[in-house]
Amino acid sequence: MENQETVVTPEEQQQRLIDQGLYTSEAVTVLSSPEELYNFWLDPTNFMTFTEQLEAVHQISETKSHWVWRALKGGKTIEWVSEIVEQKPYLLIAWRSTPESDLRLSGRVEFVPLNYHRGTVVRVKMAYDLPTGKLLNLIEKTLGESPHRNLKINLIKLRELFEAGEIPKVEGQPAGNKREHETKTALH
Amino acid sequence: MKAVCWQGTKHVEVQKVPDPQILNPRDIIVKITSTAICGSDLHLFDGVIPAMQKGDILGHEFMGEVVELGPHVKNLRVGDKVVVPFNISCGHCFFCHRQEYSLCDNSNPKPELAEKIYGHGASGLFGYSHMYGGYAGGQAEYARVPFGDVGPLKVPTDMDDEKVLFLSDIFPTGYMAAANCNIQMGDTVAVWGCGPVGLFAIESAYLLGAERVIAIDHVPERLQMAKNVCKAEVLNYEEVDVLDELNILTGGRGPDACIDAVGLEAHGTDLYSKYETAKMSVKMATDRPIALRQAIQACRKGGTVSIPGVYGGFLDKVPLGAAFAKGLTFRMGQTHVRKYMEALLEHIVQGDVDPSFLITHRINIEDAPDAYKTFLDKKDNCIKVVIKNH
Repeated sequence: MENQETVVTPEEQQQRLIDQGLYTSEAVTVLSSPEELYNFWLDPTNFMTFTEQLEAVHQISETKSHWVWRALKGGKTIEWVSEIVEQKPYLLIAWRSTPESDLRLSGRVEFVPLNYHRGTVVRVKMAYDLPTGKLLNLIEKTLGESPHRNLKINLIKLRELFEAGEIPKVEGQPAGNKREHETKTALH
Repeated sequence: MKAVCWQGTKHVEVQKVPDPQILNPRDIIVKITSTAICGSDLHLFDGVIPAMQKGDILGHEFMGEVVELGPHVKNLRVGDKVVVPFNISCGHCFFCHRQEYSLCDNSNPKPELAEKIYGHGASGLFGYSHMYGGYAGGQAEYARVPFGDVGPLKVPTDMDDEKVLFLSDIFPTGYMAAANCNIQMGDTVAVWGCGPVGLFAIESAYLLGAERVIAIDHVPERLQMAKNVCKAEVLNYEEVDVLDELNILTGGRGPDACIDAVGLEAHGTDLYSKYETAKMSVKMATDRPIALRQAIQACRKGGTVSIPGVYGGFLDKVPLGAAFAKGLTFRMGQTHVRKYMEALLEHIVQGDVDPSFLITHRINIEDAPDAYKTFLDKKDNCIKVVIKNH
């Protein structure tokens, strides 16, 4: 496929974007066009609609945005400014955090259309780093979440939003035994 | 409202719980007029399906009146009479587009557990464990139906509930089991299990052109219903050697298709069955595929084994060697209910089938805990229990 060249190996990705730290990647196929997905992804405020941990995001300039992430457990927040460093219309977007951020992260999303109306593969690669390293430890122990799991779940939610127009939920439904809150979704 | 709540193995209770509310724009709320206990609810009752939580509302065969619509539901009106499929489907994913509604990608809010065990998550189901989304079920007075614009089938308001209720699950399930057999002119179909799904599989096999249907069970009243109502030839596995008998009845060739309408809690008379029952009771096995084993052995070369019976985990001693040697085709899975509802409603309207024949018990919701026990023990000639509200 002609878009294959946009796919890089984990090694290349790590080398290109970050020297060391946590690397994670995931992919989801969405029944939509690369154009729609690309345009959606370019507007950071759209992430509020399907990313549960996202507390706030706002656009600073055409390429820069400020993100506040709140852990679902414990409620701690982490903030960063993201800057788009590479952009090929309908093919890929790459970004990284600016130096004033709480953490160093870089990411890349590629949109690979499939033949015969099978949708578009959304392939995301993320790398995180901290000056001290051991980021996985920080995120999992302090925030109680796994970056890979979050990425996967949020991509599923993106697909749900695009295809079904809403994200399925059971919180708020009735249950017996005086259960105060319906059991949480996979995110919790 | 009142609802039937799971409390643990062999324990359900009717409790007062809050009424359901619209939570998503494509939700509807249905005031339930009739709802049934399914054979697969007995797997939950028996505690052999993982990821249940105390207080979960059971039930996935229900129908009633639409009383509230989410803002995005445009194809229904308040007051419509609807039958609700047991699986929840978004209508717009890769799988829904192929009418594989039970494989819907977007209706399970908790796909992680199934992904770990099965590789991929399946659609959400009403009242059928947190692996299938943890949705509150329909053995209640009201239910929230997600993606209400896709699943529910509108039926004429003057139509008797009892004729259409089973479009929610067991009639389409029996029908898909038969459709999966790819029935050709002159075919003989053997059906293991004469519970509701087996009985509908028999009816459906004839609708789809089978020449003969042979049904296997050991409960006298079920065999009687298979014979007298559904016109199957019947075998009592406690009285005859099923494999020998099927071979003789089919002139040595074997049935062209075999349907396992029993699933993971099969009973049998051979040594393996006793061994597997013991293993399951101490949680060393998840399933006992006794009917499946026989179906594979019995099936003619090149034939089809169709599995509407529910399996949950890892099976011991499935004769895959026999299946390979005989070049069998396997078809299985949760029913794509929505795919079949309209055609089956038409069969009911035309009078080809009256599904109400299998109802043996009509109860109030308060009596559900007793009915679970009666149904499990197959006492009081119990074949199908319907809970009537109001």
